[in-house]
Amino acid sequence: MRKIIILLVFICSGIAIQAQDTLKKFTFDGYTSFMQTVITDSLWMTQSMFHNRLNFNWYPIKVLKVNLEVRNRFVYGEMVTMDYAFGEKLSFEDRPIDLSHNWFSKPSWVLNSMVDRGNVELTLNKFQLTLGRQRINWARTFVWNPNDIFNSYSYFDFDYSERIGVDAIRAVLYTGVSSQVELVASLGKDTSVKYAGLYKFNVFNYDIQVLGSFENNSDWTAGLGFEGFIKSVSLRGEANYYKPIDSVGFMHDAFLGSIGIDKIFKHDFSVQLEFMYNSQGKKLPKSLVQYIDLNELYSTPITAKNPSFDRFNLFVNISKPITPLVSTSLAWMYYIENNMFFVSPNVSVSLKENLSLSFVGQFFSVAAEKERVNVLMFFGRLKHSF
Amino acid sequence: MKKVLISFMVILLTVQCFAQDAKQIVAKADEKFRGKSNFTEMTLEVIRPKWTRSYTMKSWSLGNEYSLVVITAPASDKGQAFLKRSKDLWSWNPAINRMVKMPPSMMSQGWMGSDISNDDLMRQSSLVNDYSHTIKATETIGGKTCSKIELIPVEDADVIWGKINMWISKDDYLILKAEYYDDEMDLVHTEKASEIKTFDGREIPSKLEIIPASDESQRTVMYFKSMDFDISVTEGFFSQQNMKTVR
Repeated sequence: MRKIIILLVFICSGIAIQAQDTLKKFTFDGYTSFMQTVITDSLWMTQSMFHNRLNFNWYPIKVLKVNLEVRNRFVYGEMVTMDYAFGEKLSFEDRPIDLSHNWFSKPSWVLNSMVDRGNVELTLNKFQLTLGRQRINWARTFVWNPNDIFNSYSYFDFDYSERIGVDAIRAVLYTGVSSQVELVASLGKDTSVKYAGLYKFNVFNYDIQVLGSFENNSDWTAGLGFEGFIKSVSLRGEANYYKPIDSVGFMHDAFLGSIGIDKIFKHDFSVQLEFMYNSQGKKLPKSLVQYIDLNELYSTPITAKNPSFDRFNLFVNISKPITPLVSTSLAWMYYIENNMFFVSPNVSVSLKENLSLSFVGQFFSVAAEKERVNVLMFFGRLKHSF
Repeated sequence: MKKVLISFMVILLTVQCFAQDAKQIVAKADEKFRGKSNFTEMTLEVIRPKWTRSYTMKSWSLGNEYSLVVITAPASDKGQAFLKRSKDLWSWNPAINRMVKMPPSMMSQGWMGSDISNDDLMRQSSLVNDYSHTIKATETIGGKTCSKIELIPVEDADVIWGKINMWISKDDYLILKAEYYDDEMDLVHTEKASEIKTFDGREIPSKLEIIPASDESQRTVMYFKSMDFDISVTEGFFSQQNMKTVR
C-alpha cells in the first residue's frame, strides 16, 4: 500500500506536466530527479534518492502572487540503514515553524516532504511586500557569502541550490531601475527575530549594497557588497562585521570578507577565483582532525556568519562546455591554515530537452597527525525538469 | 592640376553620395525590422546533425541601449531573465532569487550554446552609427533584387565584428542575407532570412537562419511568432523590478 502511495506521488508530478501553463493565472513547474551517492572514507556506503520539486504560482489578481514550493524526498540505502537518526536529520530544518514532515521513517528508507517556499507577494507600483517563507538572496560572490544573512548557500550541496526559505515579512521599494531599499523581519531560532535593511544602488556600472541587521539574543551586523567589472573581468565582493549584543557573553566580534573575479574566455571557457577571510576561523589541532567526521564537517548547515572553519579560504573553478550538450567543470578549494583541500569535478550532459545527467565527484583531504584523512564522494544524477 | 583636383572632388562627392545612400538603406532596413522599440516572441532552435534543442523567449527592446529578455521554455531555464541598460548587464535566476551582474564583454559570447551571440539577441551595437557603409553590388536573393552593402566599423566603435556584408532588398528594405566577419576578416557566420509574414502591419521575414562558417551542418534558427513595433515602453520599463516579474 505504502509503495503505491509513493508511486502516486511521482506519477502525480508526471500528470501535472500536462496541466502546465493551460491557465495563465496559475503556473506549475518543477523537477524529478534520481541521485545515487557513493561515499568512501574507511568503508564504502551508498545512498539513493528520488527527489521531486513542485513549484506553484497563483496570480489571483494583478497585484498579488501566491507562491508555494514543495520538496519531496524518498531516500534509501546503507547511509540510511547505518544511521539510526537519519530520518530525524533529514526532516530537521533550522526554522521555528516546522514545515517538514517524514511520512515514513523506516530503518532502511525515509519519505519526507518539506515546504521550502510559501508566501504571498503584494506589488503596488514600485512597492512590494512579501509575507511568508521566502528566499532572500543578498549574495554577490559565488562561493562564500557573508552578505547572505538569511539563506546561506552551500557549495557542497549542489543538488539543492534553491535552499530553504526564511519565515519573514519583507518590504521592497524600488527607488530606481537598478536601486532598491529592503526591510526585513524574520523569525530566528527560539524567540529571536532578525531585523535587517539593505540599500542597493548602481554607480559607475557597479552594483553596490550596504546592509545592516540586528537579532535579539544574538548580534548586530553591518555589511557591504559590490559587483562590477574591469574590462572583461567581473569583480565581486562582500564583507560583514558582527558585534554580539552585550547579554551574549560567549560570542566575539567577527569579520568576514570574500572577493572574487571571473572571466569568460573564447568558446565559453570560464575561470572563477574567490578568496575569503573569516576572523573566527582557526587551525584545528591535528590530533583532533583524525577523529573529525569529514561528512559532518561539511554537511552541517552553513551560515553567513560561519561559512567555513578556516581563516583563509581559496576557491578556483574552471569550466568548459565540450559541446553545447556536455559541460564540464573542475573546482578546487583550499583551507590554507588547516592544509585541507577539496576537489570537485563535474560533468553534465543534456540527454533530451528536459532531461539531464550529471556526474559529480567531491574529494576532501586534510592533514592529520600521522597521515592525511581522505573522503571521496561520488554522485550520479538523472534530472527531469517540467 | 585643377582638373585632377576637381575630378578628385567629384569622386569624393560621389563616394560620399553612395555612402549616404548605403547608410540610408541600412537605416531603413534596421528600422523596419526593429522599429524604435519592439516586443518579440520567438523560438530559437539550436540544430546539430544529431540533435536539436529549442528555447522560447519574449523580448522587449528600446533603441540599442535597452533590452529585456525572458526565457519561457524549456522548463529548466524558464523565468531566467537578462537585462541590458547601456553598459550594465544583469541576469536573474528565479529558482535561487539571484541577480548577477555581468561584464559588457558577455555580449560577444555565444548565447546558451547557440551560434548567435548575446549581441545578436540584445543588440548593443548600432548597424547605422557604429559602421561606415558602401554599396558593393546588386545581386538577387530569394527572387528579390538586393543591394550588397559592406559595413566596416568606424574608429573606436565598440562592436564585435570586423566587417559585415548585407544584402538588402531594393523595393522593401529587408535584410535577406548577411555575412559576419571577425577582426581577422574571417567569416564567422552567415544569416539567411526567409518566410516573409506580416507582423503589426510590417512585412518581414519570420525565419532567420544563422549558419556558422566553421561547420555548415550546424545552424541556429530563430522563428518569430509575434512582433509588435513602436510599443509604448520607456527606459523605466527596463528595470530590475520588471526583470523579476515579466513572464
